[in-house]
Amino acid sequence: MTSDWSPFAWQGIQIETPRAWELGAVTGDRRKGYFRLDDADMPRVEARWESGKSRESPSAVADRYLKKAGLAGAEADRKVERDVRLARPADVETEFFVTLGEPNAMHMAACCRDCRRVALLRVFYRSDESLRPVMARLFGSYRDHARGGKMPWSLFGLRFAVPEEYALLRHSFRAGRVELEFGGQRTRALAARVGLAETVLKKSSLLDWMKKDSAGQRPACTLAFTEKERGEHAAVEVSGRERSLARGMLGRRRVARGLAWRCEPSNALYVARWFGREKDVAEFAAFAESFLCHEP
Amino acid sequence: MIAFWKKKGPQLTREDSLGAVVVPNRQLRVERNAEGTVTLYASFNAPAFVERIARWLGAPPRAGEAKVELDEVGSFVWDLCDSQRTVREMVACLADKYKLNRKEAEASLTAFLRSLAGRNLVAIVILKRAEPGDGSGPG
Repeated sequence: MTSDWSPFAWQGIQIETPRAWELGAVTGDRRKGYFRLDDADMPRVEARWESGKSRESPSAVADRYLKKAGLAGAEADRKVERDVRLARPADVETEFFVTLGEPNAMHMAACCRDCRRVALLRVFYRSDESLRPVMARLFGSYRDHARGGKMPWSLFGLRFAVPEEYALLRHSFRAGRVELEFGGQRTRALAARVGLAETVLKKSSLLDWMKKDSAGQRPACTLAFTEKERGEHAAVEVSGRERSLARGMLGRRRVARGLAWRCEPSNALYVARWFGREKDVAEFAAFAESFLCHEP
Repeated sequence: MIAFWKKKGPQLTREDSLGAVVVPNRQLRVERNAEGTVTLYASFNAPAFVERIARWLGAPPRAGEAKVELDEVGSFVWDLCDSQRTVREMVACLADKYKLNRKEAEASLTAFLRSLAGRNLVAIVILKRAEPGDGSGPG
């Protein structure tokens, strides 16, 4: 049974949100950025974050925001409620405040005790709505930074973790295909979710689809495809080696690994690709293993 | 240059578009194959200048039938175009049937409907929103 809530994780910021709230906008990187989730009618939650050089208290973050928004002084008495009490997330210093208007917004200024990152989250609600339980769960679920060296990512049904040092290089959200590409020091990793699996695989097998999907991959590699299983799902494993003659002569040819599987419960295809040094290939196994394609 | 003189249509909001209903062209011939997928046939006349040349050459009038074959998902959406359901309801049906995210379903469906409307296979009717006090609201 699927829950009405789903995790959302982007650049280390992790929250739980109602399932109907989906990513509407995203910019920036791990140091400084923004995302917004919308429901069918309106923006619902947005977050801005910035890596702080010095320790900043949540109250200072709230003051800075309110001053910038022109909500300081007499105006603030009318339109702002400070120090609102709400469930506090673990390992984070927080202050909650409400700004009244249409829509109203419950804000959480959060400063992570470990990574010193400062974030401001806002949940929007209309005056005729009571979203307090939703806000309590959402803000209570807030987590910052990687745990155990793994950085979780979760959006549009694509849920996985990469080593902490991998940075997001590129993302693409097309109808039917969500794709994130990461780069480590000497590695590249790609995670993708392709919707409408039943329709996509009506006229070709998963093996043929993966061969086609792997064509044109850069750098050019010689690839071998093997059918196997990933848990209860039919899968295709890809392994290969870089074709570069120059790297070959230096004995530094890198290897390519990949795994694609079809998840029936979510009617989607999942793809994990990895490219790097042979001695780091265990990173691929952990990356491919981390995908959660459907709720058990 | 012609586009320069083209009268701009009214600006539609996302809300307007999602509240619209889709009316299939009644002059189409619709066939369904054994797999349940739909093929649309639309008759057309050749452009006037082609007609004139054909007449001048003594050739019969050039008329024909354009064929549009929809795939499984397209056929499912076609069946939802019943002049009753709003685009918003169609998005929900599509997302539910194919386990798509709402945004994914909305983007795919609107692109598909735009392409159908561009070929005059459907008309998209924007329902007028009830203005407060204009008496056109329910009740």
